[in-house]
Order: sequence, then structure tokens, then C-alpha cells
Amino acid sequence: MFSYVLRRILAAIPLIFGVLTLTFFIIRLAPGDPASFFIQPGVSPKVAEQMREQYGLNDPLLVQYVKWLGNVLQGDFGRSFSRHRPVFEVILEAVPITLTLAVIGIAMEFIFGILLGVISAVKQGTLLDRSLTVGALVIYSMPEFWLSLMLIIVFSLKLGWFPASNLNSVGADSLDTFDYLLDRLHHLVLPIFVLSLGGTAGLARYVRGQMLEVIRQDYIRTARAKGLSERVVIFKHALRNALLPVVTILGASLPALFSGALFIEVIFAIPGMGRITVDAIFSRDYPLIIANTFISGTLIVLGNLLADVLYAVVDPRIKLN
Amino acid sequence: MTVKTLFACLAALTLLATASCKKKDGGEQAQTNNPLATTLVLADRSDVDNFNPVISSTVPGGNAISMIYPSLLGGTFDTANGYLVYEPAVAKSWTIAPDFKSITYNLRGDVKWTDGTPLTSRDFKFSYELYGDPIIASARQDYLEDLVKLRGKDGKPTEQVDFDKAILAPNDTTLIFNFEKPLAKSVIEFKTSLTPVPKHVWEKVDRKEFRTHELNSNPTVSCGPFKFKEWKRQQEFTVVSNPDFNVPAPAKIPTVTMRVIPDYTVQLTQLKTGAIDVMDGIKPEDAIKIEKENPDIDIKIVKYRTYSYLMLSNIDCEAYQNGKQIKPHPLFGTKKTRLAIAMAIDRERILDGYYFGKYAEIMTSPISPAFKWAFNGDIKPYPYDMKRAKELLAEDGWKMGSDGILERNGKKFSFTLVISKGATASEYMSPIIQQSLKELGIDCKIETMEFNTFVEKGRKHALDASLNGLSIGLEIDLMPTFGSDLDKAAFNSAGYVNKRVDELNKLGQAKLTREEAAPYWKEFQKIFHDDVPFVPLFWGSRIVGFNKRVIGEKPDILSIYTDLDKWTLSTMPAHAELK
Repeated sequence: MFSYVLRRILAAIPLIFGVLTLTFFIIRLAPGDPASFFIQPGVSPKVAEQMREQYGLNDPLLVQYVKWLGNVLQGDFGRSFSRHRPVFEVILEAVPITLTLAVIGIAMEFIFGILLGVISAVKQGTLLDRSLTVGALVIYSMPEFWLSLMLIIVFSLKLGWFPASNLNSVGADSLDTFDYLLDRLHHLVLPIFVLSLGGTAGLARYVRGQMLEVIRQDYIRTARAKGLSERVVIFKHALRNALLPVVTILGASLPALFSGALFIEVIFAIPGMGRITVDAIFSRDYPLIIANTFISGTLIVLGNLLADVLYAVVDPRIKLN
Repeated sequence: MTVKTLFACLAALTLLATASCKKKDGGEQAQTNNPLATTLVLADRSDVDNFNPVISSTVPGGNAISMIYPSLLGGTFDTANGYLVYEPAVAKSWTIAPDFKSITYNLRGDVKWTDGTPLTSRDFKFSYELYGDPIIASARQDYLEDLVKLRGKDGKPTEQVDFDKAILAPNDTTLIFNFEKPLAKSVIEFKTSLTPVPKHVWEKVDRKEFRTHELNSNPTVSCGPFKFKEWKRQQEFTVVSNPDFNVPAPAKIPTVTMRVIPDYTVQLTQLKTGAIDVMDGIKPEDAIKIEKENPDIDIKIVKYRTYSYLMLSNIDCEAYQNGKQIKPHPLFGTKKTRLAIAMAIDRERILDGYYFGKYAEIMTSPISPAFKWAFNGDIKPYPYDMKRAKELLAEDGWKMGSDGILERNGKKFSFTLVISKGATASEYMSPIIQQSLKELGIDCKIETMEFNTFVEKGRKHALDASLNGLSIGLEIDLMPTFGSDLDKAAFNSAGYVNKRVDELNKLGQAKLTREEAAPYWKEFQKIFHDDVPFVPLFWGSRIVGFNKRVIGEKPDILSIYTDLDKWTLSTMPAHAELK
């Protein structure tokens, strides 16, 4: 197992470098550069040129690449052009926020997804199952930004139950820790709801399929023949086996934990990784874009590896080789 | 277990919802305990870039800086005459030399930075040195371009400012600026009004580290009606009233928070729910609804700062891309064709449909009607006259082809009109323009482009036609938009070249009084009207919504936060106002 993991990690290094190199060149093909931001009414026309010089953008592309490669090999991804701070400092500020959002979101996704999937499978063919199937499809195909805005209009504007944006209320710093956390949670309800809804619907369909397959197995018939209660049969015998492939989805969720939810973060004004990525792309902040690509690329590779390893751990029939 | 978790979550949600309702009810009566009662909540679509006046180059940054830094002169816009009038602030009085090449300021001696250090003329001199340092690359370095320069070996002025001679601070309260050439009084006042930073703090910082220094995000030493409290990046910044400020007094509202809310709809929702007090850039359709449905919100408009226009490239884009050759554009290269298009656009229809007849005015020239002394009121908008438009096109050699599309020398009159993504006014206008042009026999396709790409292509003269918007400065300068040197004129995307316009700009700027300069600006407007470098559309109004608890707001052409230090909130208990 260890040598397998090591081999996979070693193979990932050139892959990630390839991705970073591609990103380096592709982002420079996009019209505009970070200095274009300084070409605007009221800003001295000389500034763009001075900034271009300072950012090293006047060097030939290959020279820029070699310099960049040298720095990256020493672990230096540079400073953000738009925020004038080391890129990892910018990212480290956003990661905890994105992580909170994603961990709660994924937890909700798994709890409700599995629960609804099991109900749907057990009640296969009933009105409940059909409604859940249709409901899941509708929710799954709803665009996140639209759903977010609808929820804001209903729960924030009309009912006034939940705040529409930001992480805390104005003046929340003066609250005690418990109230502060409650205020934070209160702000996170709508974004987390939107964030987990699509995943829940997808997972419920997946679990339902797995459950239906497992329920038809001989060992389930045996369990029922032994006179076990339906609850024990479903939750102890069937669900455990049905969940084996679901576990691997956890591995695939790893990149989402850090990369952030783009639309949701923009709409709900949450300063996480998604917003940083969008801002970086629009302001052509090359170092920040590359650092973000590095993080998500690494996580995708690690997530896939984790999924494979988990699969082997939970299912003894699979051998890593 | 799972069912239990489900119930626990539902219970938690209910609890949170109830908590919020409680808070809302309690907020109304417990004004004294609720921080919101004494906090003005502003909102912006993007975050502050930094809190340093030397390097900040964004609107949110500028707004924040004006709250916490002092200015040499105060300014109000005289709407009756249409110009900026300067008033004493840190400077008690000032005199301009008879040769109009020098200004001497007499500063108040009793103004202090928040750490107790006196604010002196040396802070201003030092700050100007920072503004002029190419390593720092300040966005406002062109304010210094007329100051006395270092001399080269040939005795001629170089590009570099001679700070020893250009800015003098002989004592704490005297500040003198010297210029290379005579300048108009208003220009001298404008160019010497850059915001200072504390010398005793910033002189210890290496210029190479200036842009990245921690003080840019944590301005602990300032001197304004407010002082900095906290910045949570990409979330909000908070300033509090500065009780020691005496130019003229501390801000009346104890706390101001500026929240970052990138999404327009969410910001509007927050304004309606009272979560924010001020929202800038409301769309006309929403303003109309608010005026009808939200009695708690005041809608105010600021006119004549931004305009929209239909850019029709005067020059052949392909020829310009290949070695910067200036050749007439094959479609829009002549005045007659551009004029025909101008006359084919039904502006009244757009004005009524998009702007509800009240949130914009039809534009005649790019000199703002707010500058009453320079505005040429004799020029009337191009009339909507399809018949005349068709005649003009025929006069210009365009003939109707068999497919209903005009052609000239075998070339079809067909082009792509590019609009920027998210520009709602352009999205509304473009199909109307397309329809009008179709009536003329012109085939116009519409393409939407990402904002950065749109700007870049416009600047590089790679677009044949586009719908653009531009915001104007408070001093007239034609060169960025109409200068013949296309490399320098960043906003002359039409590629308009007219040497007389360059000359007029020089002449207008060289005159020492507005009365002397006005004829040149008026002549330019006449030329603009005749040449149609682009098709002027509207002076759009900036629409701002204020929660009615805000008292004293008076948004003007300078800013929507004009006199923020004097605003109050009706929810503030009497003792909260700092006097």
C-alpha cells in the first residue's frame, strides 16, 4: 500500500507542474494584463507602464517563465498583484472560511442524502419514492445562483428570517463568543442550504441505486429469513454495504472543500476561495491564479488517491497495485 | 441516529430563525443598546485596495481615505456656475503669485495626527515626494507634472521634479509650490490638493517596500473626521469618529461600516431590509419601484458625471493593428455615415423605456452640462430622422443591395456591435439600435464580451463598434478621449484624429481664467457635433438610495458621501452625537 501511494504521489508531481505551466501560458493569452487595471480615468497614464516593469511583465515570456519556475521550485509563489501580499497569505485567510462552509455543507449533504436515498429505496415505487425522485431531479437541475437569489428574496426580504449576506452582523464583535457563533451560524444558514442542496439530491439518487442493488442480494434475504427486524436488515446489513462506493465520494469532495463555492460566495458576500479565484481571474492576478490552480490541482490528485485508497480499505476485494 | 440529527438540525434552524425575529423586534426599541442605532452602514460592490492615499486607485479606497485623512483645501461644487470652489481646511488661507507660477499656503498650526504629532507643511512636502516617486508609481503622479523640474546639462527641464525648488516648507505652517509655467488658479488649487500622509511614520519605510507595507492596511496614524478601527478584508472596514479632529470638527456619527456586497440584487435587498443605509448605482427600473413601494428609502440622483456613447471606429482597425497605419474605416470612416447612424437612433424611446424619462438626459457633447461656463448650449441633439439618415447614406455612396443590405464598392454594410457583459443599459439599447440600423439597410450583429477583454480590445482599436460608458474628471482634459496621439489617448477607442482638437485643448488649459478658456471648449463642442467622432447617447444619472434614518446627506458631482462628517442618524440617541 505504502509503495503504491508513494508511486502515485511521485507520478503526480510532473502532472501538477504540467498543469501549472499550462496555466502560466494560457492566462497570459487572455486579453489584458494586471497593469491594465491602472488604465482608467483619473489615473496617471504612466502608472500602467511602471507597474508592468515592477511586475516583470516587460520581460520576454520565456524569461518570465524561467524566473517563475525558479521561484516556485523554492516554494515561492510570489506576491498577489492586486492585493500586494504573498499569495499564500491571501489564500490562508480565505481557506478557513471556505472550509467551514464546505465541511458543514458536505456533512449536511451526506446526512440528508443517505437518509433520503434509503427512504427512497425502501419505499421503492411508492408515491413517496416518486416524489423524492422528481424533487431530487428538480433541485439537482436548479442553477445555484438563481436558487440563492430566490431564497434571499423569500427568507431575507419577505420573511426577514435570515440575513442575505456577509459572515456576521454589523457590530457582531461586541457580542460574547456564544452569541457571535450563533450570529455566524445564522448568516451561514442560507449559503449552506444552497451549497448542500444539489449534492444532497445527487447523493440521494446514488444511495437509492446502491441500496436497491444490495437489497436484492442473497445475504439480505438470509438476514430477513433469520427473522431480523426490517430496521436491522436495512441499516446494519444493507446500508453498510451500499455505502461502500459512497465513501469514495468523500475523497472526490476534497478539492471542493478548499476551492470554494464560486457563485454562493459571490452572492452571499462570503470572502472564501471562490471569490478570491474569481477576483484573481478578472484582475488577471497571475501569481494568485497559479497558486489557486496549484492548490486545486494538488487536491484533485490527492482526492483521487484518497478515493482509491479508501475503496481498498473498505472493500477487501479491491487490491491496490 | 440519522433521524435524530435531522431533528436536531431542524430545531437549530428554528432556533436561529426565532433568534433573528427576536433581534429584529428588540432592535426598534432598544436604540441605546443596539450598535446599529449609532452605526451608518454603507455598501460597495468591491473592497478597499488599501488605506494609503499615495497608492490607492479604487473608488472604495478613495472613499475610505477621505474619511480618515485631512485635506489642504475643502471643496464644494458651485452648481450655479458649474465649477469647484475651494474652501479653507488645513490651509487657513492661500495666495497665488501674480505670475500664476506659484502658490503659498498658510496652514493652521493646531492640527494633529492621531498619535499627537502636529500636522505640518513638511508632511505635505514629503507626501508629494512620495507621489512623484516612480518606484511607488502613484496613480496621481500626473498632478506633479507642472512642478519645477530638475535641469539637464543643456539647462532645459528634465522629466524629474526638483523637489528642493518645487515645494518649499520654510516653517511648520508655510507651504509653497512652484510651477514651470503659469497655470489657471483652479488648476493650481486642484494640483496642490493631494492628500498627505504622516512623514514621521512613512519616512522610516523603504520606498521599495512602500506598496506592500503593513501600514497600508492598518493606518494607525491618521488625521480626519473619522479614525480607522478595523479592516476585515473582503468583508468590511469600520471607522469611528475622531474626537480630536478640529478641521472643522469630529464626525457626528460615532461609527461607519462599509460592507462588501458584490452582488447587485443582494445589495438592493439589503437596502430594502434596512441592513445597509446607502446604496449607489441603483438601476432605473429598481429606483422607480423603490419610489413607489419603499417609503423608508429616499432616492437621490447625481447628474452629469457619466455618459454613454456608441463608438464607431473612425479608423480601419485592421490597418491599425498592422503597423499602426491610420486609414479611414471602410464603414464608419466618413462623417456622413456616422451622422446618418446618429440620426437613426431614437434616443427618446430609450430615454422613456430604460431611464423612465427621468434618470438620464440626451447628450449633445462630451463636455458636461454641469460645467455651465464651458458647456455649449447652442448645440442641439441630433434629431431622430430616418429619412435624412437614408439620404446621408446615399450621398456617401451607399446603395441598397439585392438582399436589403447596403453596399459600397462591393462591400456590404455589415458589422458587429460589441457590448460589455453585465452592462444593463447597453443590453437594453443594443437591440433597439440594431433594429433602427436594419431599417437603414445596415446589418448589425451584437456580441457580448467579458469586461476586461472589452476594454483591452477597445483600447487597441480592435473593435469596429461598441457601446461604451465613460466617467469624466472635474477638470476638462480632452486628450485621454480625443487626443490625436492614439498611443497616449487611452480612451480614444474610435481613433478620432483632429489636430485642431489637440490645439484647442492646449489653448483652453493654458488660459488663466475660465472666461478666457471657455471659447476654446465651446469651439471643441461645435467640432464634435460636426465631426461625430462617436454617437453621443445619454448623460446617465447616478441613482443613490438612502435609508430615511440618514439625515444630512447631499450627494453631488464630487461624491455621494459629500459632508459625511456632518451626517447624523435619526436612530442615534442625542448623547451619541459627538460634538
